[in-house]
Amino acid sequence: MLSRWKMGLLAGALAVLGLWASARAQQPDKEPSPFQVPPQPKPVNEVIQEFPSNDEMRTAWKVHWATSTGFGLTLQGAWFKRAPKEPWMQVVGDCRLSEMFVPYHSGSPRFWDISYNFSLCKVNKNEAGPHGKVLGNPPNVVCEVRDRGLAFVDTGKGGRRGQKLVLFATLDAANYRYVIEYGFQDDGVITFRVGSTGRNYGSREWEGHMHNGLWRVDVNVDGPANNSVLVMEHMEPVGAEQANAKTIHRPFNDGREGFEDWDPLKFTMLSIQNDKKRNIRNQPAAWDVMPLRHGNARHYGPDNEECTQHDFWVTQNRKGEIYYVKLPKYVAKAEPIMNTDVVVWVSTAGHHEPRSEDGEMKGTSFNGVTQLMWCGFDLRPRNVFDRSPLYP
Amino acid sequence: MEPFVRKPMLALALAALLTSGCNSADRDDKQPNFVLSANEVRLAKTLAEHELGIEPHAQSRADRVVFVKVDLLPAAETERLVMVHHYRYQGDETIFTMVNLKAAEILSQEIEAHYPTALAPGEMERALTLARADGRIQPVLQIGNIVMEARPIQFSKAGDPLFGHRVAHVLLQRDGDYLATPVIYVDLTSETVNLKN
Ligand SMILES: [Cu+2]
Repeated sequence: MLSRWKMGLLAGALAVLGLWASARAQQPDKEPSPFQVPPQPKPVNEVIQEFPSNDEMRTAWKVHWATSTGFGLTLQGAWFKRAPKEPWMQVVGDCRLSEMFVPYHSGSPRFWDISYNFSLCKVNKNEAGPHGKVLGNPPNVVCEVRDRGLAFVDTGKGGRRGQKLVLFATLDAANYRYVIEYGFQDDGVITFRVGSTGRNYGSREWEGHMHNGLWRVDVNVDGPANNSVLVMEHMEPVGAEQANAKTIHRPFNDGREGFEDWDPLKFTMLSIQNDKKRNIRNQPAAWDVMPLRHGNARHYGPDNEECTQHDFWVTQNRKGEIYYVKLPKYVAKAEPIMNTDVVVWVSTAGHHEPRSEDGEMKGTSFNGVTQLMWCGFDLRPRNVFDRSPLYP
Repeated sequence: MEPFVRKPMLALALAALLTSGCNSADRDDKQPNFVLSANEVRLAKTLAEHELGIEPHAQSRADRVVFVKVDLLPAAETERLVMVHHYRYQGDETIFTMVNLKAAEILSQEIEAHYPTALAPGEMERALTLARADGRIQPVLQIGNIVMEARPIQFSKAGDPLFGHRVAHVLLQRDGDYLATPVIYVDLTSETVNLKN
């Protein structure tokens, strides 16, 4: 016969397993019928912006943003509407500054300022500016529509100014600050930027160092499926005629997970395309990674710096793979990156050689602030529109 | 890796969590989906630590394992995935445990040596306590208006005495400006304060 305490233990265990089973049972085995789904309220982290903001709509963006310690401001997804009556087309899923690697010239320190799990700064009205809307609880994200200057100047119909929706937030990395900014332009471009600012490192105020902004971008052109990553290169000269040039379109790393480098003589670009989504010219819709580079960073410290030794990496989109340092492991399987769900990883590095404008020594302490230095890249549509966007 | 439900001891260990009104899938609906609830963090930590066989209160200084953080991972709406980070002093190891919170299931566990891992809040506090107690730093603290801040730093050269150790750089600010000296490295592995003037 079971003693009273054993009975109690057994009852407790059964209750736990019962709750467990009930939690399991609540998970749907298959997609519910569309007739059973009640209308979902707009998520609090959704921003929808139509362009132009002050006239009849031409294009629009829908953005889901998120914040966390470590990664700061991230995107859960972004969808573009190329015309008022068109459906939303997904462009990206999860996007984040996956790492900010900061090695000093003397060899140490070598900081990994995303992995170190810093928090976001609270934003104030000065930083938000006159048109910025502050989001988040605590308030740490700014959302605003900016004039982006001229979008084009046409010989026949003159010029037009463009706009972009911008979301930004600032990571509080001890003495340093990183402004993480995503821009969504009226012409379908997404801009990825990280700006380095703050106080030069105590005792190394005048030592050169690097700020490697290392991005993870889950490009989902018209959804996650059927995406392929190509490299576009400009070649010159080709053939016997020295004046001849050509463009090469080829699968990234022979169509397998791996890396490639940026060659300034080839104007290396990546193009992530969906063969199943075609425009009026029957061209596959794509978004191109447009590098805006200060240079190519290469670091040769401990083994975990191998991830900094190439400019672009591509992986399949697998669970749990968000850490830039682990990229060499992620690509080891060399799985296909054609017609699947792909993630593009982009290195955007800046060299910080301190200058008097960063600040001054006052006695034994350093006073002043390093002005923002921006690094980043653009994701630009290719054959997404049927004609020039925003054209009269 | 086996889902935890096949491990009755863990089911019992989670009894407190489950009977306190939260089940494996609970999150705070008033918060946006990118916020992990305290229950979710607790569940993820418990599952990971059970898989590791950690008994948090029975660790010696040398082989202690600290819970560092939980990252929410991108996932389909039917899943809620997180990565739990632990740091093991022995071997300077970071342990990554991927957990599906909706199924209360561990998906993977990986170990990386000499990985750039964050300091846990308790470790930062410990670093500040050790620095504050160091007689060599007292004269600077007595200047007044000094704010201390701990940040992670790793010594990556194999020959460095602090290589493979858990180190916090304690920064000193006075009236918002950082002091150039002293440079304070608190070695949490040996519980010593290293000072450079
Ligand atoms: Cu800098």
